[in-house]
Amino acid sequence: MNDFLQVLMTALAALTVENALFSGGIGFGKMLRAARRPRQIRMHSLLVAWFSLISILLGSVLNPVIQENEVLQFMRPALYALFTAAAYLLFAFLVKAFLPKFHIKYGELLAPAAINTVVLAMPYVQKAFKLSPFQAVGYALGTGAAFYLGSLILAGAALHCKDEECPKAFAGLPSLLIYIGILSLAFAGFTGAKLF
Amino acid sequence: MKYKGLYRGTTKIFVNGYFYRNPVLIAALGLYPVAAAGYNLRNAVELSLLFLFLSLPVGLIACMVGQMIPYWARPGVILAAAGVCWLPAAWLTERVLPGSITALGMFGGLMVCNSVILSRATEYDVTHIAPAVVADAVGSSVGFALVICFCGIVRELWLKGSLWGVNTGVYGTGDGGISLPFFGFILVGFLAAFLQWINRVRGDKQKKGMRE
Repeated sequence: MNDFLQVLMTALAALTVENALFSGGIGFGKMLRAARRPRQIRMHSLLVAWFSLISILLGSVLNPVIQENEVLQFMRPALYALFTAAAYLLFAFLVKAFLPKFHIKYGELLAPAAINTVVLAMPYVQKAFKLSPFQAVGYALGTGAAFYLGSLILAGAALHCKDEECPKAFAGLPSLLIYIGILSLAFAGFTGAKLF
Repeated sequence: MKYKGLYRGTTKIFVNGYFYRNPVLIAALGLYPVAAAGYNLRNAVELSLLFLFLSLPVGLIACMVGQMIPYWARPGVILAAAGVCWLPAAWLTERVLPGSITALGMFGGLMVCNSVILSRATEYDVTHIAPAVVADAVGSSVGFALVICFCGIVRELWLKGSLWGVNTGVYGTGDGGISLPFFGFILVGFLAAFLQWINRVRGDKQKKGMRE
C-alpha cells in the first residue's frame, strides 16, 4: 500500500509542482506536434509514458554505476542516448515484427514518443530528485499524463491562435508560444523556483 | 558554372537556415535550451558551440549512411550517432570554454536529442548532398545561436544588469522569474512574431515585383 501511495504521490507531483514539461520547459516541440493531431494524442501520450518509464528505470540502474566513475560521468549524455536509442530500436522492431496492425496505425508515433527531450530527461530527473524505483514509476506515469493534458490544451489553443482577429504577425505559432509562456508562468507559481 | 550554381544553392540554404526559416522561430524546434538554459550570455554561447560541433558530424553521418538504414530504424540510429558525436563535441566546447560542460550539466547533456539536429538529420540530411547538409547545419547553428544569444543577453541584462558576468551599469531587477522557462517562451514568441512579420513583408514585396 505504501509503495502504491508513493507511485500516486510522485505521479501527482509530476503533474503539478514538479512538472517537467511546464515548470521545466522540457519537450514543448514534441507536444506542439502531438497537438496538431488531436485524434492521436492519447496513444502518443501513452507511448511517451511508456518510453519515459523505460528511460527512468534505466536511469535508476545506470546512475549508481556512473556516479562511481569520473569518465562515465563525462560520458553520461552519450550513455543515456545510446540506451534510449537501443530501447527504441528494440521496441520498434518487436512492434513491427509481432504487431503489424499496430505498427501500420501508430508506427509513425513511435519515434517522436521515444526520442524526445522529456524521455531523455528522465534519468536526470531520477538523479536530481533521488527517486526510488516506485517513485520513478510514478514520475514517468505522471509525465505521460502531463503530456496528454498539455497536448489537449495546446490542441484547443492552436485553433484560437489562428483566429482572424489575431494580429497577422502573431497568428499561429508566435501567439501559441506566448500562450505556453503564460501557462508555464502559472506552473512556476506552483514550483516557486527552477525545477532543474 | 556548376560551382556557381552550387555556391548560390548553398548560400540560399544557409541564409534560410539562420534567418528566414530559422528552425527555432518557424518550427518551434529546440525550444528547451533557449527557454530553460538561455538565461545568460555564457550559457547561450556554450550551447551554441555545442550545437555547431554536434550538428555538423551528425548531419554528415546521416547524409552518408542515412539511406542505407530502414526508415523505421533511422531515428534510433541517428540518436545513437548523436550520442557518440556528443563526446568530441563536448570535448571541443570544453577546450574553447573551459568548465562549460560541467557548468551546463543537464542542459548540455540534453543537447544530444536537440530536435533541430535530430529532425534535420532524419528528414533533410538523408536526402541531400554533403554541401547542402553542411550549409544547412551551419545555417541552423547560426540561427540557433542568434535566438539563444539574443534571449541570453536580454535576460542577463534584465536580471543582473551584466553581460558575461561583467557589470554594464544597467539596472538589473534581480527578479529570478526572468531566468525561468516561461520568460524564455514569451521572448521566443515575440521573436517569432517579428520574423513572421518580416517574412510577410518580404512575401508581399516579391508578389508585387512579380506583378510588375
